[in-house]
Parts: sequence; C-alpha cells; structure tokens
Amino acid sequence: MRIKSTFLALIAGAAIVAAACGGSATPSSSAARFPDGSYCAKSLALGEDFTKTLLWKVCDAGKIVISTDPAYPPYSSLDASGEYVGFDSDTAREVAKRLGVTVEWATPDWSAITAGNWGGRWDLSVGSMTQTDDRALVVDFVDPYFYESGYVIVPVTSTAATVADLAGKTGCAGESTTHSTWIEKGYADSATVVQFNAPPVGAKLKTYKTDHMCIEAYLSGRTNDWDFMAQSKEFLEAAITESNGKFKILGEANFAGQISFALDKSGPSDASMLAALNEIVAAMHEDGTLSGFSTKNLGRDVTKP
Amino acid sequence: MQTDAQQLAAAVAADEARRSGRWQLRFRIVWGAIVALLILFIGVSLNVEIGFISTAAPFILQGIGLTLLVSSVSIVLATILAAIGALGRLSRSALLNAIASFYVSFFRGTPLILQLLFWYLALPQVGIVLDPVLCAIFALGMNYGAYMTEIFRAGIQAVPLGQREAAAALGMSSRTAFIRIIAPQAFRIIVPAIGNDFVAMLKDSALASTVSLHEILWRAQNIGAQKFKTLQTFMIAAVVYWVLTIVFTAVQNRIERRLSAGDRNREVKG
Repeated sequence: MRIKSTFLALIAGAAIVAAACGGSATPSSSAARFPDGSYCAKSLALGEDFTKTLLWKVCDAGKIVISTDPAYPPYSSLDASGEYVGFDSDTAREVAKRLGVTVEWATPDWSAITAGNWGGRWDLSVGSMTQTDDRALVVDFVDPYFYESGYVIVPVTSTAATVADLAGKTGCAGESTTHSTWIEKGYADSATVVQFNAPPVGAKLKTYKTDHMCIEAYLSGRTNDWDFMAQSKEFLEAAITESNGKFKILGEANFAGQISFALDKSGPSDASMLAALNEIVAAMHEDGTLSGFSTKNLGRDVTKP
Repeated sequence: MQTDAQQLAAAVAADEARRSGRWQLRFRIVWGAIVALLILFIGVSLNVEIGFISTAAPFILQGIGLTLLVSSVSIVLATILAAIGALGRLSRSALLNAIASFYVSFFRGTPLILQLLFWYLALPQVGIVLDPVLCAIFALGMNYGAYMTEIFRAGIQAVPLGQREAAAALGMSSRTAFIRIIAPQAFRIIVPAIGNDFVAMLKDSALASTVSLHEILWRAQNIGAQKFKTLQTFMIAAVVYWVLTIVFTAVQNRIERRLSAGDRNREVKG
C-alpha cells in the first residue's frame, strides 16, 4: 500500500510537470516560408541572432497572438460567424499580414493588458490603448495609429451645462481606462495626453469591470449610481442610441490621446519588433490603409491628429 | 384470513398508488406554477426582446462544448487527485499524510478564482505559459480534487471495520481486502458525491471566462455588452446552465439507481 501510493503520487507529479513544460521550439533561419517583402522574411534574411527577440519568436511561430476585447464595436467585436470585425481587428490583421504571419486572438481582461507582465500569453495589444505615462512604465508603445478624445455624458435630466458644473459629483468609467484616470486626477502633467478640460473638482470615481456596466447599471434602475460617465465619443453615442436617448453628451472633448499598439516591456527583447511595427504603422498611414479602415468602420477618419 | 389479509394488502397498495399519483400531480402543478411566475416576472421586468435573443442565443450556445469539455476533464482530474489524496490521508506515512493534508488545506482554503488567476497570470512569470483551457482544468480539477479527497476518505472509512476483519479472517491480505471488499463498497458511497460535484463544476466553469475562455458566460457577457443588454443574455446563459444541470442530474440518478440495486437501505426516488 505504502509503496503503491508513493508511486502513484510520483506519477501524477511527473505528469503535471510534463504537461506544464510543453515542447520547446527549434530555431529556423529559413526566410523562404514567409511572403516576399514581409518583415519576417527581411529580418530572418539578415541572418542576425534573433533567437532571443520577440520578432523572432513571432516569425518562428508563424503567428502573432494579439489581445483585443471584442465588446467594443465598431473597434472590435465578433460577428455572427465568430469572425473578429472592426477598426482594431482590421488593423491587427493587416499588421500580421505585413509581418508575414497569421493572427491568433486573445481576449483577456483589460486591466490584465494594461498591467504589463503578459508572460508571453499574447505578443501585442491592438486594442485602442491610449498612451499614458503610467502605462509606459510597463509597456512599449508603437507610434500612434489613431487619435481619440475623451467625452462625458450625463443623464438627459442633468442640469449641468459644463464639465465644471459636475464638481463633487460621481463619475463612472471602466476599470483601468484612460477615462477613469481623467476623472481621478486629470492629465494636466501628462507628457502624452493633451488635456482641454480639467476633471470636475472633487469628482468621485466609480468603476466597473467594463465601461458597459456603467450604462447597464443606470438603465437597470440604479440611476443614483453616477452623475456622469467618461468614454470615447463612439462608445457614448452607441450608449445614447441603444438607450433611446437617456443620455446627452456634455460639451466637447476633455482630452485627446494617442492610440497605439503596445508591447510587453517584461517580455523578450522587443526593439526589433518595435522598429518593424513603427515602419508598418508609418506605411499604413502613408498608403491610406488606416484611413480606409477608419472610414469603413467608424464612418470618419480618426487617424490624423 | 389469508385471503382477507391479501385483499387488505392489495387495497392498501392501490390506495398508496392513487395517493402517490395525486401527490405527483400536485408536485408538478406547483413546479409549473413557479416556472410560470418566473417567466411572467422576467417578461414584465426585463423588457425581453425576442429579436435580440434569437440572434444572441446561437452565439451563446456555441459555448456549451467548451463548458462540457472543461468540466468533464476537470472532474476526471479531480477524481484521480481525490483517490490519491484519500490514500495519502489514510496512509500511516507521515510524509504522504502531510502532503495530502497540505494539498487539501491549501486548495480548499483559497478562493477558486485566485487559483485560476494564479495558473493563468502567475505561472508565466516563471516561464510556464499554459494554454488557458489547461489553466481552467488545473484550477478546477485541483480545487475540486481537494474537496473530493475528504469525501473519498470519508467514503472509505464508512465501510464497517467488520468487513475488513472478515476479509482478514478469510485470509485476504490487506491489499486484496481493499481492492475486493473495501473499494467497491466505498465506491457506492462516493459516486453520488462525484455526480454532485460535477454538477457544481458545470457552473463553476463559468469562472474560466475571466481567463479569456469563450465558454457560455463569456459569450453571454460579450454579446450582451455590445448592445448594453447583458441582463437578457445572462438570462439565456442561466437557462442553458440550468438545462445542463437538469440533464446531468438525471444521468446521475440513473447511475445511482444502478449502483444501489443490491442495497435495500439506499433506494433512490425520482
């Protein structure tokens, strides 16, 4: 009995360790399997030691794992057939194509993406992430692919005429979003975000796991939950439409941010990937690809500052 | 006298059956009434949109496969761990007993969602990147395995000592006695608990939505959020989980009835 149970415990332990470790990839220097002119073909043809870089990891795997949250049409959503559609999704697919690899999607919580330390779970975030100083501590930003402003809505019954009138009120936003940061402390000292209006003096912040819950909580009858909500114009306009006009946009943009892809600082060396992505984004601005995706999905061009 | 007694017995049995029939009818009427009230309440309060639900439902239903996959592989893992764990808890070896009781204490003593996030986010920090499906299976399997270890141990200990003594008197080694006498009887005690835990696991597998698995709850959340209607899609998800548990509870009852065929103490109703 005693011998047998020890043996069983050892087998179970070994099986778990074996499953956990998985196989390790072998380096390949052949650029031939990538489309001509793609970054993987070019990079591998240079014959440098890429084996420790993110670019090599992606090229060698032949796929790039891109994180997105498909609950934000028209940026990212799943259509009926399970296909990822929207501005971010189109952009991500085009980037992968120019790298010479295929896309695999990951859909983690937003706060897990902005916190960095992805541990290789995904390689790149293409999820409308606004560059902020705090985030830049844990992720590396590619040059912006579009520009987005933060707006505020209030219930149609609100008497506030300007953002300043909301002093001391409660503002709702999704967890770890640029909008929650604006409500909490504003962007007066930011090197990356341009602030037009300071947040209301003494505003209290209320966050939910996603921005959508702010709207849903209010619509469910929790009308004392918050007095105003901050998000992008597209999101807020969708909320106004879906709620049959229960809210109104208050004033103009309060801040403008640069929206970028993000790479994990703690992952394998990403310098070559960053350089490749910067070139790809510049080319996509240049040849009108990004403007085309923007017009197709958002009905307007948001890719110019 | 004999025939009178037989007639009386027959009459009592017939009355019993009639009463049982009436009882069954009342039972079903109450069930039907509660379900009707529930549907009425939801219909009045939730502003249910049939058009939206008919587009959202197929998307949510696609998650059933993943939910069943994760739950069933996890219950197998949990059962194996519980069998090993129970042997450890009953072992005279201090080493095995300590390992088993630490396992039970730790995995029962921390929230399942933290264990799940540990597999998903903490392990990669030391270079082990498990597939999210594996993370969910390990988290659920090891957590439930800890609970089931104690159930297995109790099941084995519930077999009367006399059985062991009788086996010894017949000249069986303790090993043979365990395999032929103790284990089969313990198994009958344990199986209902495994079934129960599987049903519980079907629902706890919804936690896997937090590590990006597109199972039933993730799909309900995602498609609902796009239109700010998660309440309606959560309702669909609730019905799906409920139907799944009803089906598996029925399966479990059948298995239990089969196993209790030779046991007059443990007749299962319904």
